[in-house]
This record gives sequence, C-alpha cells and structure tokens, in this order.
Amino acid sequence: MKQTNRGLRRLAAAAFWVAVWQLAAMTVNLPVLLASPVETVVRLAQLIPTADFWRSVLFTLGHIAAGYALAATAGTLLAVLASRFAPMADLLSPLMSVLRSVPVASFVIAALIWVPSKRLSLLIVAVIVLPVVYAGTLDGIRQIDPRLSEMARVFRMTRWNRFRHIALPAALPSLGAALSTAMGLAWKSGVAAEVIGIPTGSIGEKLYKAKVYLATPDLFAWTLTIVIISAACTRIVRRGLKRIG
Amino acid sequence: MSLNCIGLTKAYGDKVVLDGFTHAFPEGRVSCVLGRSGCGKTTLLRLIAGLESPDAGRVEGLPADGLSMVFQEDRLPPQLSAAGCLRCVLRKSADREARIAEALGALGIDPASDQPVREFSGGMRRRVALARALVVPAKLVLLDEPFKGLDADTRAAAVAFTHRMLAGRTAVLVTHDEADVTAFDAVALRMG
Repeated sequence: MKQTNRGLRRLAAAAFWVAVWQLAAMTVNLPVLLASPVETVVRLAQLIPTADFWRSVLFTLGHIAAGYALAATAGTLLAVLASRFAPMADLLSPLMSVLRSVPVASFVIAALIWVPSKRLSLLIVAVIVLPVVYAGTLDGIRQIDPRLSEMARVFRMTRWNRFRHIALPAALPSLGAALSTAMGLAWKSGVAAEVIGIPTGSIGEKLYKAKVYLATPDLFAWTLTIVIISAACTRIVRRGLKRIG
Repeated sequence: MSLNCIGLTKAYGDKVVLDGFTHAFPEGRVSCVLGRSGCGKTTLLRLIAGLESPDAGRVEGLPADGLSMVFQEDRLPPQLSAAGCLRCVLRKSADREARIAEALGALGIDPASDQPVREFSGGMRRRVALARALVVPAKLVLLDEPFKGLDADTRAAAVAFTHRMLAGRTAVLVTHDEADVTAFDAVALRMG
C-alpha cells in the first residue's frame, strides 16, 4: 500500500512538470523556441518506426556501452592494484585528479586529433567513467573489515570465497553507487562528444542537425530518447548489482 | 609434537604484553589459559596464529595443515546464514553439509535457516563462531573466550559439544572460568 502511494506521488510529480512544460510551450507559442510535450512525443512516434532511428540508437548505445565497460573493468583493476601497492596508488592519484577535473570539451577536441570521430564517444566515455569507478572501487575496498580478512587468513579461505563473501559485500555499496553515477555521466559525455565530433549515424549527429535546421521537436525527441535509454541502462546496472549482492 | 612457545616477547609501544613467555602446550590435549584481563592471553593466541609477529622468540610445532580459531570477536560475514558462515571455510566434501548440520544443531542453531547472522543475537553469533572453529578439521584449535555471552544452559551444552569435538586435538582455550579446567580435563596455565 505504502509503495503504491509512493508510486502515485511520483507519477503525479512527473505529470505536474509535464503540465508546466506544456503550459510554457503554449505561452511561448513558438515550436522553434520550445517544443511542447505533445509535439515531442508526436515527433518521437514518427522517428521510432524508421530504420535510421534504430541505426543511430544502436551506434551511440554500442559506443557508450563499450567505453563504459572498458573503463569499469580498467577502473576496478587499477583500484585493486592501488589498494595492494601504495606506490601504484601514488602514481595513479595525479592522473585520476586530472581526468576528473579536465572539461569534457577539452578532451573531445584533443581526442579528435588522435582518433577518428567514429570512435570518439567510446574514448571520451572511457576517460570520464574511469576515475569515477576507480574512486568508488578504492573506497569500497577500504570498507573491507580487516578483522574478517584476518579470519579468512586463519581459516585459509579460498580466493573465490574471500572475494565473494568478504570483499564484494563490503565494496559493493560504494562500487555500485559509482557504477550507477558513471552510467549517467557516460551518456552525458558520450552524446556531448558526438555533438562535437559529429560521427555519421550517431544520436549526436541528429542533435547537431536539429540545431542547424532549428528542428526543435527533433532536438527534444532525441533528448527524450537519450534520457529513456540512459535511465534504462542505469536500471540494468542497478539490477545486476542487486543480483550480485 | 607439542606446541612450543619459546621466549615470546611482544610490546605495543611502551606496554610490554608478553615478556619472554615460554610454554609447551601438550599435543592432543586442551590447555586452559587463565588470567586477568590485559595480561596477554589474546596476544598469545594471535602470535600462535601468526596474525602478529613477536618482537622476540618463536612458536614451534604448528601443524602444516593450518589451524582453527574462535576470535575474541565473532568475525562472521554478516550477510551469510549460519550454515553459510561454516560452508565458506570448509572445502567441498561429501560429508560437508552433514558436518555443518551436526555442529550447528548441537549448538542450538537451525542449520536450514536463511536468516543472515547480522540479525542474530550476540549469543547466537558466538555459537556460530564456535561451530565454525570446531567443524574445521584442524589439529590445532585456538579459542578466545568461546563461551562469552552464553546463558548457563546454552553454555553447558556448548562446553559439552566443544569437549567432544576437541578430543585428540591440541587446543588452547582462553577462559575466565576455572570450572573449564575440570570440564575439559585440561592443563591449566595461569598468566599475569
């Protein structure tokens, strides 16, 4: 009952903001400045049946997912190494600080010189996600109870059991939060990279064209698509982590 | 071969906890270590277990196949069930589940329960920690106040089961209860 009430409240809140958006669009009354929710949904409904829509979605999704997976794996492995070897942590610390603070646009422009625009979003997502996952994993490893580690040593627990029953449960809350946050960042930075690099057949290219042709309903429809896919990806990551935990 | 502590010395800062401690714990018997709090009983167990290095001295006669231990704290992975806590320290074998069920059952813990040990009372957690130490087939068992926090009836059952499980094994039992010396037909060692 409590859950149903909460669901209803959330739905009501979403409906409220859609209504505000609709009212604002009606007040402005210029779709080129502000497309209404109805115009956005209608445009999205027109795009969905086209092959070009799905090609763009798959292109962007594929590159962002690949960059995310690469960075999540590398970030986790580097954090494990850093937790074991202090010099490794010292060595990685300035690199991670730089990766965290350099603006996405600077990375994108520099990366355009090094890689073809087709691979740009993959690289940018990896660079943005890496420090987030690294920090989350390192923090998670620090949550491992040293008394349980001692117990594991005395009982000569297998490596797998140490990982599964001691390390993972302790590290998962922090690692999980980092992986969820990183997924949102991956979509923001990945699409931003595509808008700057304009790789053919990407969502970024569609957003860029929408801007050039002042096709605001297209811009909103593609943005809604990004928000939906990003939220779905984050949910998949959270569900996966819940299953592991 | 007995377990020999030879000239063990350990200090934490200026505080000397053990100063040239020498003792032979007889093989296949329970030795009860008694003494006031802070006299170095737990430190002695930690040095024997290899969890800390002595400033001087050595331990001889440690079994090659490892040891088992009840720590001062329970040290159970909080998300695991009672059976899970035992399972994760035991290698797979045909009789593993039967041994787990026997040990937990004897100590009044339901081996089939899925309830995580973090939801257990202090006494229940203590019994799971004890069952874990006893179910591991190690020749050397170290027990640091294993019956701490148990009520009289539960303690009596735990003592009886522990006595049975320690038969033929070398055990060092840290306790504040003189009665344990008789209950375990143990060699008494008074420290401090």
